[in-house]
Amino acid sequence: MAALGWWRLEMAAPAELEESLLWKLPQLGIQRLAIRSIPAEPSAHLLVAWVPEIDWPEAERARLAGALAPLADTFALPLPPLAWFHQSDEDWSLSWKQHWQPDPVGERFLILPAWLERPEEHRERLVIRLDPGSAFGTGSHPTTRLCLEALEGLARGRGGTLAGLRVADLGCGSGILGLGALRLGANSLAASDTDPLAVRATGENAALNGLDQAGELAAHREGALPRLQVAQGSVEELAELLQGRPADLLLCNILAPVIEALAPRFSAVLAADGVGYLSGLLLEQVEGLQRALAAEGWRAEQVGSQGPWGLLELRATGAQTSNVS
Amino acid sequence: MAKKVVAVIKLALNAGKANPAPPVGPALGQHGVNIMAFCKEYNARTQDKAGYVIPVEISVFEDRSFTFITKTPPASVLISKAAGIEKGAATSAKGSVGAISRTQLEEIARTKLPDLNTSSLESAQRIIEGTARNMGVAIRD
Repeated sequence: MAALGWWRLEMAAPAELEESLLWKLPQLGIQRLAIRSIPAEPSAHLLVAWVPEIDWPEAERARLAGALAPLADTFALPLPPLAWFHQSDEDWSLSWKQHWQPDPVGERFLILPAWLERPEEHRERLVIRLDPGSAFGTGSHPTTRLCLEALEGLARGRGGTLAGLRVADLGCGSGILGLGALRLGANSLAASDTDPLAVRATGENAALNGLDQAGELAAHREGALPRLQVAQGSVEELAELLQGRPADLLLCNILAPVIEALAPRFSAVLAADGVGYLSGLLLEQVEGLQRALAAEGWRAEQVGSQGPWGLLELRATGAQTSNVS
Repeated sequence: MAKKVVAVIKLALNAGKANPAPPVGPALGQHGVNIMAFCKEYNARTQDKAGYVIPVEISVFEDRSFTFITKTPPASVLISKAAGIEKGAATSAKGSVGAISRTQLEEIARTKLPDLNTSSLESAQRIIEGTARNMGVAIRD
């Protein structure tokens, strides 16, 4: 027997009427309710309700408007029109995944949802697998892409690899940037985030990519850091992971005011001959941030933009030589 | 980094019992939100309030990540509590099941103001008063 479906009811929910509808509809056996709005029109609320198809034949559906009309009368409002749409039943625990697709970034990366196979046309790309949880999404945000493309550019100037570099990721989120650096051959990654969900997500995504294991270079060099370390916290905790030796490459994709607040401690996590990539900042914030960083001894040059977002490359002011170029 | 919100969805769910069936599945699934992750987190955060409807407001971002906050109980629950009744009238027999005072009405309006689709306390009071009347709860002057 074919699975039965649902009727989906949609109607505008004026501010006056919303709470009355949320009271009345469950009384009428309609308990599966949502109120939806979009940021462009925050006050235009749409009430959406689902009822089992088998329990709500046409005659029942036609009677609903009559049962709701008195609620609107109280506020001297007309009852907004009711629109019914048939909706097939489906396994919603799985169907959300159809919105996630392989996402090529730059020339070399491919962000791949955990459950998908790598498409043949992307077989040459470096895969970063992500298992989307609540706090972190597709990795498709412009600032994430800017940083990944910057990593590619940096590797391009070093023979296509980040081998030899110790990387620090401040505000690591899903871990995508640091994992991208490891995919490009970086020796080690130290990552921190104030959000415990981020710490967990970074560890889980590293395992998903097989990047939590000791790397060949790191494992065989005396005094080398573990390949991957993640800690909950901010710049101080990141400095601790680095064991007093600032990283060669700093990644920091957070908000401009947070970057500015952390700038006085950047020297604890980024070596004087290292390079940093800062994003999460709007183009209109670039100048102010450059001034703040200059006051702390850092030269920040805008090296990329996408839409309203900018990317800064960070180097120590007056650094005579750079270990990273 | 700041992410753009693409949709805000409010659901009235039984504490600790969210599952992928409607409304959660279709309301969030159409935005590509990880349904099971939401259910798990909502249930974990509300399991100590079993038996109550705990409305939740979910913000969905452009990268399909989401955050949610639990909201104040529905106005009808606050009105019923203030009137000392179990729930409103089954029909629109207005003014027939109980009453609340003006002071109680104002308290409820203040409590609900952050979650109502208005920023004015006066409008909030009108909404609460109308909701109460629809429930068959009179307002005592």
